[in-house]
Amino acid sequence: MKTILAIAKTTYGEAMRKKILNSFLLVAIGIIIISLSFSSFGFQQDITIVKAFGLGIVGLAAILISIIMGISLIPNEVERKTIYTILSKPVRRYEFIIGKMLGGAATLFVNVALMGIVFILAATLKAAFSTATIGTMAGGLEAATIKPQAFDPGLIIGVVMIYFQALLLLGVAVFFSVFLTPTVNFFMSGAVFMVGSFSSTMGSLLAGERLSAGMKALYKVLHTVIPNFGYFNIQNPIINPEIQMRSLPQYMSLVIVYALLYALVLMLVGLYIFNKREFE
Amino acid sequence: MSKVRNSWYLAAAVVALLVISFLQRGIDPLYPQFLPKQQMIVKGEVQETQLLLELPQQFLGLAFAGFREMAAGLLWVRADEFFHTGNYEALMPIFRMVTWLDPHQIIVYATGAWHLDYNFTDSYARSDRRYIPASISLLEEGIANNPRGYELYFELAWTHYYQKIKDYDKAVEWAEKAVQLPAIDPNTGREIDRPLFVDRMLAHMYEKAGRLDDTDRQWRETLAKYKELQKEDPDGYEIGLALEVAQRNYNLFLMRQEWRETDTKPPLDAGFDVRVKRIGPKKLSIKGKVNLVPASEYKDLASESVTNYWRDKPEDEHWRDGARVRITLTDLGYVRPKLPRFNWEVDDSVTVLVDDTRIAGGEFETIVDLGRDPHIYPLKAEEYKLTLMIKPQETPDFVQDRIGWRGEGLTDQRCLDTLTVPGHNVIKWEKIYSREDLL
Repeated sequence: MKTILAIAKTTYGEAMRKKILNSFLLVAIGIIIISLSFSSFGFQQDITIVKAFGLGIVGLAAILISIIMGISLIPNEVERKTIYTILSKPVRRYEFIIGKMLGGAATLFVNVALMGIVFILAATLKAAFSTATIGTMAGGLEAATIKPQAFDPGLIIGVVMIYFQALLLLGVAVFFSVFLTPTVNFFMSGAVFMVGSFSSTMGSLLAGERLSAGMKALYKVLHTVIPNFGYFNIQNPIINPEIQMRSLPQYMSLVIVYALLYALVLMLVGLYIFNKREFE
Repeated sequence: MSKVRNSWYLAAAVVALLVISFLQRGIDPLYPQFLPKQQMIVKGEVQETQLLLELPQQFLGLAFAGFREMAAGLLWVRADEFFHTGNYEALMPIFRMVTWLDPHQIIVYATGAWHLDYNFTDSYARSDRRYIPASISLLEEGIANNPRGYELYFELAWTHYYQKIKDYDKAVEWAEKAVQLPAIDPNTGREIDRPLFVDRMLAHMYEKAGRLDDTDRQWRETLAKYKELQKEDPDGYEIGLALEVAQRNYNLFLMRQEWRETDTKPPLDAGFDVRVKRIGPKKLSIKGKVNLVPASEYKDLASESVTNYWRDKPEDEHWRDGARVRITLTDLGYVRPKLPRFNWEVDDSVTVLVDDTRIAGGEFETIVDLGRDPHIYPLKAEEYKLTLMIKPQETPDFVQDRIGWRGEGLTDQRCLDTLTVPGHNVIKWEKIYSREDLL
């Protein structure tokens, strides 16, 4: 365990020093702040845009950070030949992989948390210093003003779900990094993310009449085998106050366990392949 | 690393995958609630649709990758730019795309419908009425997708049926639904009190529709509600004002109810007389007279004791002006269509003109020019119907004091119509024109 934590700590330190990851973080935070300047037709639409834009940017940045970090965690060690030194010491291969994964997860956590805090703060301030006018588009009725509740706890849920989505994607990137070059891995991880997100709308597509039986069968297989990144996209009810969520704690628990288990599967298969590799 | 031990990793992975597939059985039934529920009104019925499949390809990727709300937000910012630069034509496709990406942004439905009703206008600032079915259809779709809050129901009732179309029965129908619902906190989604004016406006809508018993009941209920709210917030400005306005309007209603019982008798002969002349290509001069309502008619009214209208009227002002004659010119047989599903493309072969003109001193006069906007008034049909109408519902209160809410104090030897609005006496004049007559 000590070895795993030592590797995780080193991985975290190295990853946090990477300029490219820091730049993603800073750009994302900047865009979230800029989104505050959006002004549309009224508070309701403004806050919808701030939330949609904020959650979108945090999600996008988390995805990019996951992939870019994940594709280089192991290949960097191989390229710098440090892996030979590490594995020649009493470090087991599984300890190395788990340590790398934990370090990556911690880096991701700090990045998403920082973006999340800025985003939630921005949205809360926007609501706190606003009054919402509710009324009609035309017709000369006096507008009714209400003071919206400033803090929306749903935003925390949105950010938590983004973290676990990105964690699962990190698992995919680390898995591919065991046997693919970083460039190929970048596209592979991106493709898996796209297909896995597409999986979320599979249910409705399967119900449609436009798809052939063959396509429907293919979608069903993909839905089972490819990690379903769509499960984590629950922004719609968070952004739109009209919608009520039911069984949220149950759903979140199931999806978080799903993410952790899937990351475990990827790590186990990655370990199987990693163990077969020769480092001489 | 032994081969046997390494295989355990694979075995463990397979076991974990089995657990995952078991987990998915719990997740899959719960997940759809987080997807935008996509419903449309198709042939009058709410149906689940595959709107995503209708999205342009560039947005499909974003939608599938889980960024549909962000894409919708960005499009909305773009729509705002188009709106403020007056590029109205470009707005509808954006409204449609935003509602495809995220059908829960109620302001998009409200703004889109308002835009369709009010912003496509001819050279004389008359709105293009061919867009009204699309406007209603869009709001009905919005309501189907967002049934929880009062807002879109009231929007349809007030902005569209009451203000624009002046179909007071339909306005009442939707406003009655609105007063059953709360407002939704625009940030957190918790249910909050709907604006105070919603309940009050339903009373006005009942009154416009001539449903006096319902008006009385709604005023009483509204006042009772306001009084309860004032107990919770005795110094509240908004509730204080709302209560004052409601009480004043209810008292006025009660007075009018009593006055009009006698003031509408005997019925006033409108003597509606219309003269239409073609004064150029696609240009009609419309003039006429209507006996609505001379000051002398107020002399012995019950309301005179309060309004003193006749007493205070200068000798050279003999008329109470303010009512309007509604003018419609449409293809013969035109009925406003009910769209099978929302579509903002109008039938550009159809001509629908709706205008009105003010009655002053018992006379009215206007020119209807169809020539400057051939894209709105294509005049492709063989025959057209020109209708001039005065609905008591649309006249000002002081005119209604003499002719009644439902025209019970109104008659006309030639132009009285009791069928257009059942239970109401309407003044209506119609004439059929051929295409050649207008060209």
